Amino acid sequence: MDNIKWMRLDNAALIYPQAIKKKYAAMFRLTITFTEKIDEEILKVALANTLERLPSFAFRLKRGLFWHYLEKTDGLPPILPDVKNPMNRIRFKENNHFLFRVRVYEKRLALEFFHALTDGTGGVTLLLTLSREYLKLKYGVNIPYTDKILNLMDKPSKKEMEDSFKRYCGPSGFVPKERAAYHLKGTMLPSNMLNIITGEMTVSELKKLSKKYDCTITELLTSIMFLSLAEIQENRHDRKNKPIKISIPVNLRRFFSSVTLRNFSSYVNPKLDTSLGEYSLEEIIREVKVQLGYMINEKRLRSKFTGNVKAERNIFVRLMPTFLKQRALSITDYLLGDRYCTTTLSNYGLINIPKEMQEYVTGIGFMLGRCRNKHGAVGCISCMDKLYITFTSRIKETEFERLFFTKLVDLGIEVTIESNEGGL
Amino acid sequence: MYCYKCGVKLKDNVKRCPLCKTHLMYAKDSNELSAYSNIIDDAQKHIDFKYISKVLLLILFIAAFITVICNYFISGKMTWSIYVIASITYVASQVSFLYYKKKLFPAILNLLGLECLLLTIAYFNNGMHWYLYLVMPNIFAVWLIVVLSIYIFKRKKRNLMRNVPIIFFVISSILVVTEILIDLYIRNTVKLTWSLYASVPVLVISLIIFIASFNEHIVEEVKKRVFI
Repeated sequence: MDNIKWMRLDNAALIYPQAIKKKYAAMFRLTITFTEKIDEEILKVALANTLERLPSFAFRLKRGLFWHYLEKTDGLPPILPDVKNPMNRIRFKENNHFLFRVRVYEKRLALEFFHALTDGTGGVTLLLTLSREYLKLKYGVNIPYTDKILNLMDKPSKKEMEDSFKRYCGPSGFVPKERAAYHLKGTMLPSNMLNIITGEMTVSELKKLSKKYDCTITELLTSIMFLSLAEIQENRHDRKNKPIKISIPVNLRRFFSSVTLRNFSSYVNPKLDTSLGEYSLEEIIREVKVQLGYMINEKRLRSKFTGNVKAERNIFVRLMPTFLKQRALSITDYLLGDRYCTTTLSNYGLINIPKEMQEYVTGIGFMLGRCRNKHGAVGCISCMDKLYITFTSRIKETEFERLFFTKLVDLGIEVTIESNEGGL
Repeated sequence: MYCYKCGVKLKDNVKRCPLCKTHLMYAKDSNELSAYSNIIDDAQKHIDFKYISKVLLLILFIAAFITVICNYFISGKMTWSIYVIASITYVASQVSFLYYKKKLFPAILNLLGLECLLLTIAYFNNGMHWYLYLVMPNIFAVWLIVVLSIYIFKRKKRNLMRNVPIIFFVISSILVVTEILIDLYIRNTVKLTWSLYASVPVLVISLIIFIASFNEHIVEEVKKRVFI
């Protein structure tokens, strides 16, 4: 494993370096809150130990003649103080060229990833493995290993660094054409500021509610989101010629037995056509269940990413020099990237934190970075019977967040709100 | 503590509900940590303009020095390198825009640099008469109008209907001054013709706009009809 000096970007990561702009880069952030203030010196040692086991995170972005690629880098990323406006573009030089940033605020450890490096699963693996090592060094506690907490004594496996898109792509596939989606408009915040609102609730309460409606938690949250967006569309008297669409990332590891720590996820875009009339929550849940059931299966997902891999293998695309490709892909991303969804709901799901670790951890968090052409996105994660839904938005108005959370309150869920007060 | 409008739970020290922006009457000043740090990442990379301008000035100085040496070794005295040095002085005066935050002093330097460049050319080509009576005053007049226009339009309280007539007035005055200078240079007497044809209608229109700008009703009417 030590001899891997460079690697090609995986299929999903190809677009991200091309789309980097002064005010935009595809980022996401994972946080863990401990019971005590973080000791930065211990964290530094833990980080060094962890990166030896997870070498796929110690890569820097370089520009080749035809494609960007990842090159092995030495050292450690600096440990930075946390900020009110996270997830701004990483200035690679100031971050020792690492593609993820480490931030600390009192008891909270935050990792901010550039999406070209990894996806949520890879990020969670780094966060939990690092947290385990930190707790072991600080308190001498022995926490058992799980699928997301890796043993630092094990040797890194080649499979953890593979491009699973290429491994699992089929002989044929295509990316289905879609209709443009309705977009929320509002007063833009400054380019370095995001309005972040997190709602905390108990998983058991939500489970009971979803059982009542005979659906999963993701389906329930998606439906409430659709209902809120439809209400905004109605209140604002916006034209209903475009459907409301929510992009839901799908972890492909659920369908293909991959252990890669790099990107391996796809997405589906369920929609709600509000031009057909008003919907009740029950109706929306039925719609969402049918659409997700139809879209999320191994064959359709494989067909979708095979289409993307085929596009990457196109000889004309491959022969285009990087500087031209960068402009062409950046414009494509600008025009089409957020065209087909109103917002994104990325539900990571439940994180299994071992019992021995639970007494040192009070919470976890997951949020998506600034969007390029839509108002915002939603990240969702749960652990220890708590579910955290974080809205990140680049507009000042919080109508969407308010409607979503008040609907949950109306349904009997107690919601605790936290915010960076970016929009106040 | 709960927001009485949204029904969501909030920390006790939160003064405004982040969802509905309602001011919360029962917020307490507690030592509880806020959810986020107060540090703001300004995200944009700072460019050290002072450092850049110093480097540029050093490069220009080295270039001037090499030019003088070459000229001296080839011709035994300074000939063409004088023009190069005058040009470099002018370029250096442009660099001062990077160095100073307030732009008036660099603007004065810029004027002096340009005048100095043209003076050098005039002096070594027997054109001092032409330079003193025509070029120097005209360049000063153009510089003045540029500086005044920038000053007028950079004011925080912008009033386009009052600013535009002022600029027109300055332009008209400069046209008149230019004709006077040219007349003095050619005939030693002043007889205004073309500058009057250009400036009188402009002045009349400017005056009408200027007076109208004090009438709020007319200003609103104009805004309503010609907004972009």
